[in-house]
Amino acid sequence: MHLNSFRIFNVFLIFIFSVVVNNNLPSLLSTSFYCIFYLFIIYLGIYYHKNSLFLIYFIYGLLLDILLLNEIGPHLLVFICTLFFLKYILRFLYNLSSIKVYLFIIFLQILMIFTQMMISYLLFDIFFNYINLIEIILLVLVLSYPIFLFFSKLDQFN
Amino acid sequence: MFRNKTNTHVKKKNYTSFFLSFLFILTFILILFNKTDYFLINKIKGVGLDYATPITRFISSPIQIINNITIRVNSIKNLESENFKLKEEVVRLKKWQTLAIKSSRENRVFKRLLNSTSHNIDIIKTASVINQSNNLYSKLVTINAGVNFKIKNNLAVINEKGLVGKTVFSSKNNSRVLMINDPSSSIPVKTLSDGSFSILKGTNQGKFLRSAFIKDSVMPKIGDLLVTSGNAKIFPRDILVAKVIEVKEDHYFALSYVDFNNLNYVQVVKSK
Repeated sequence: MHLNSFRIFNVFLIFIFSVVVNNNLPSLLSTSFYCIFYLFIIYLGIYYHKNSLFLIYFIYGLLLDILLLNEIGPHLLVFICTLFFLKYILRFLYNLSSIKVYLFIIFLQILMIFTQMMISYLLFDIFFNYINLIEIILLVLVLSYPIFLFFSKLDQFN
Repeated sequence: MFRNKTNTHVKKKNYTSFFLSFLFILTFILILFNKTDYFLINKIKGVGLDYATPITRFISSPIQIINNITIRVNSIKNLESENFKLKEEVVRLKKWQTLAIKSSRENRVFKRLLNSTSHNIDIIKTASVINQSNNLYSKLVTINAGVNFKIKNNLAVINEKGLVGKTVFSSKNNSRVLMINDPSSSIPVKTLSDGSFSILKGTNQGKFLRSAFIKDSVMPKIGDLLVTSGNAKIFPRDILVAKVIEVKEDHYFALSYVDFNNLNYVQVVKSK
């Protein structure tokens, strides 16, 4: 089986997902892995967009909901809606400069996590924690650049 | 030839749009069923929990090993100072031991006189913690005992230090426990010193417990011990919960005896 970038990205995604849901790590480290998982998800949705991603997003969304919240909804809904949204704006994104796409990914990630927290609060009364959201925003800003450098290395496997 | 190709392309496109629409509708159906607590959703949750947990545990094991090594190295670094602390504690505990033996003897005699029965709890199962979710949403742990060990929802979970939480979901082989430091948990407690009742809830960061309701506004004192009152019919009476560490005008904060970041074995219990 030929190991292309898409498959390598998915291998990393499985590994990071496993760390996120199987957690005995210090809080900061576990939140970092959570942020990295989202960066992977969005990057795949933009640069490796294909229909099989819908199934991948569906499975990850469902499992994240079951394993992190014990309820089904926030992750699943946000993942599927994000992918549909990306499907329709992809042609505009490709016209943007790399820095704009980079900023768009960061913005989208924060928006996704914020929406999930809101849905969790509204649907399941799971407490909306502002401190966690601020922590996530700071972590995304710090982690995004090295992670994107890593992504650009992975892209070269194609 | 061209017609055949076009037909295949149209069929593929139709199939794809059907598949995407199906996934989109399925998402909403699952959310709707989840809210209505449908049998199917519990089945999906159970299957997800039973199959995903061992697989993800295996995949993430390198990170766990590195984390364990880091903890071990840190503990080795602090060995000397900890040894000194322990020596001091041993001296202090020896004094307590003499007192405890005396009290225990007295206790036994009093119990015989009153014809009282000991323990008010039934241990259903001792289980190990196999997974702890990150604290972004709910503070949940997964234990390796489920319906096959007669574990159902709303059973109290304790460990050697005190109350850990209650079961909120049980699959065939695993159960999920909502810890008491989760903001959505609610524990009826009483103060050991004066027997005043209150309700404790978790806080955002999960470090402390905060009083949500205090009966007759009788505030406890700093250092008071809080035990379960047995009012909610979920938690058996007299299980150690926390110690009061800060008292404000209309509420107080307590520190749980359980170290939620270091849970290994727990017991699922119910009232006798």
